[in-house]
Amino acid sequence: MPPMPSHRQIALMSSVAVAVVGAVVIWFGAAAIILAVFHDDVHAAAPWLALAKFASLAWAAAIGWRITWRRLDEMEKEVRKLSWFIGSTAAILLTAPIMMLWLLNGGAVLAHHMGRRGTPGVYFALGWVGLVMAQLLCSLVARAGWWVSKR
Amino acid sequence: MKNRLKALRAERGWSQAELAERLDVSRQSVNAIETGKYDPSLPLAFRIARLFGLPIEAIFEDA
Repeated sequence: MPPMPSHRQIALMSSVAVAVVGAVVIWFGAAAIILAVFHDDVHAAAPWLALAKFASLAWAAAIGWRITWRRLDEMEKEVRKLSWFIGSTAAILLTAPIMMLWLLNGGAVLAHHMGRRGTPGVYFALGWVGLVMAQLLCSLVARAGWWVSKR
Repeated sequence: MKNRLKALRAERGWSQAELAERLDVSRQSVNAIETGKYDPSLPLAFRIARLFGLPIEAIFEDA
């Protein structure tokens, strides 16, 4: 007879089930309601469908984050908090000069490289993605530094 | 902060991994605590003390 799953394993499986089922229910439930409201006009409903998809992914990500966080021991939690704090601060400081360089001549350098793709929305997305990537990178470097210092 | 964790673990013949499993932490955490590179939280210090059946101050001392 196979061994009974432990309390932790049952909690993990339950959380994964809640994440998956919740995401599916949010996505398909919201899509059904939105399409009914817009009388199956997919073009008109597109922004709301995208929002429903985001909500579904956000639900799964939030539960996934909770599962991951609760499985970390206290030192791992401390490393992540510290590395995110240091990494985020460093990323903001490091990306500031880049932003100022881009702003020279009214952002002419960036506009030259972007050409006709350079809409305000694209610039905003570039800035957001750039900062997030810089934070992730700096956070990883800070975490690696922490581990090296503790070896 | 100094501690006697390594000596206490050795007395019982436990590996770092075994102690980590008993304390529900990673082996890296046990290693960092033993080498004095990481000070455990008060709840973890109590768990360690209970596991070895000793008061906290018999395991940890302020360096």
